[in-house]
Amino acid sequence: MEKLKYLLSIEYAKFKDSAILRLLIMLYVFIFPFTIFLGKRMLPEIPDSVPFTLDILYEFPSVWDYQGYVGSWLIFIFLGFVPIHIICSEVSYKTMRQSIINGMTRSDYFLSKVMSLVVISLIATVYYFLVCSLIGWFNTPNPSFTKLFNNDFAGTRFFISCMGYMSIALLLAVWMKRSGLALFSYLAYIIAIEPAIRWGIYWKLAKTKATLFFPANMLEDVMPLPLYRFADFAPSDLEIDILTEYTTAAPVTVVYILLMIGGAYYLLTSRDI
Amino acid sequence: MAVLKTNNLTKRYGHVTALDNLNITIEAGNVYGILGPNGSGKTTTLGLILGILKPDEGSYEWFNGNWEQSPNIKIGAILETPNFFPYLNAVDNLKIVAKIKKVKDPDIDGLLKLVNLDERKKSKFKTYSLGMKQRLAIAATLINNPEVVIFDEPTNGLDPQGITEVRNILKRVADSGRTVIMASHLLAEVEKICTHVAIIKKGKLLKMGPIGSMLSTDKTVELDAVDKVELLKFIRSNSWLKNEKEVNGLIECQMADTYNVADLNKAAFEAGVILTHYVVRNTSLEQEFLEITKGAN
Repeated sequence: MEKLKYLLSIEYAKFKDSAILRLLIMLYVFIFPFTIFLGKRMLPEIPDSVPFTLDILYEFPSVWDYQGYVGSWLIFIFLGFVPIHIICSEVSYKTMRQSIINGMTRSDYFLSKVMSLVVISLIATVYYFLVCSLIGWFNTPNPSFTKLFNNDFAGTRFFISCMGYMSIALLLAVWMKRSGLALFSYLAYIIAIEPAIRWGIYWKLAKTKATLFFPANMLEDVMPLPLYRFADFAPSDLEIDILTEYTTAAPVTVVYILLMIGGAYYLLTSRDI
Repeated sequence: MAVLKTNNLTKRYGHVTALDNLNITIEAGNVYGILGPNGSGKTTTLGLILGILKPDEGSYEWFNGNWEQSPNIKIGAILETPNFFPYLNAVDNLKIVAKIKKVKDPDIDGLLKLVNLDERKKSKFKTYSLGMKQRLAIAATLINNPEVVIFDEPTNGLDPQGITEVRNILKRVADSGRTVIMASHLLAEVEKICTHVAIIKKGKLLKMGPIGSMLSTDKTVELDAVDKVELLKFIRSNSWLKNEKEVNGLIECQMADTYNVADLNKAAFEAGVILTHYVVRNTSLEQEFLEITKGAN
């Protein structure tokens, strides 16, 4: 525990005055609670056959799904850049090599970065929990703690989602070393490359459910589209169910997180700095 | 006591061997200069012994393996450029170094005074001139009173005033009894500060030892005479004079250390050579360095 405090104190001293990091965290903090007001405007109309309105987004347990889904996009956009910044800026300032020269081991240096990401994920999760609890409490008829905690492990899933995006970014940052390249690769992989590979395999090679088990897709299914429970109403040409239950997606994502952190560790400890 | 031993340390970049089976032992309290032309492997050597480059072969050991966490905690080092967070000031940057080195109450003000940066201690690193950055880096190397200090081209890119300031600080560090390893192009500086030198070229160690043993005891003599042809004949006919060459219209040669100017003048006069100019000086490290590295081509 002493060692973790020591490593985190070094990271805090390094980045407490970083304008980029402050901006990324502030954007997440300010935008996240207000996304609830966009829900009704952005989501498609619910079919008449469904016996509720979009007001359900404000109530337990749907508020966990909606804020979790939107929150995971904000994490992808803002907090995903954090590992890229804290690794690549240190490469460009050459403070990464200076930290090793000054006496940090490569393992400790890496651990300090991973611990920072864990702490940021925990804080983001606590914030998610507070925002959802408040919105849900004031909009759910007859609110209660039973209703509040009936959320399918939303907090745990949100934490996994945070760590998932940040571990992809961490691996790319350690691998690429340059922030522009790592950022482009991170966005391109999640938005275009992985979906293209998955759909390419599905339509050209084999219509297999295995295509769902790619890292970014699993990660998205940890916090799936709100109202996903009603996805069966939508017509589809697909022969497989494209949504993986979180009970599968979350553990598979944890395995991917460990693999990506392991890969980043291998790269950082085996290459010249 | 040896503070560093390397054993066949080798580093390759593709087909290029940057360092080839380096075997050196550095004793405590000595001031080592690592000399070599550009691309000779000086910075690679320092990068390897500081753990930021991975050797392809060989190994090294600091302090006979007697250290915890990392041997670098006991070492203060600057490699190539001063590396700090540009958006932090001198004090905050030094606090990070102190945290990494586990120094509880670092004397940051004292260090900044030592390197004449106390008046700019609250300015961000990015606003510093190169000389100020270099001086801050020297302060960082001294933060935990390290057993070994390593400088890589500490005066590179500095103006004459910056060179003088950094040189004065280096002299103070070298005089403090610490083990110092310094890679530099400035041979006159190395000659003044260092007790030992290692000469590297194309990744190979050519020569290493105390600076006194490295320098030839022969003297360099600069001569001129009424008849230059006779002067050259005279030099070539005496085995205690050698390596004659014409430099700026004068004849320069090496004279064995058992002879002096009176011997030279007398012998020349007896041979019918009237000297019109002579200057005697000791062989410099620069001349010796050029001689050693020329032979390795």
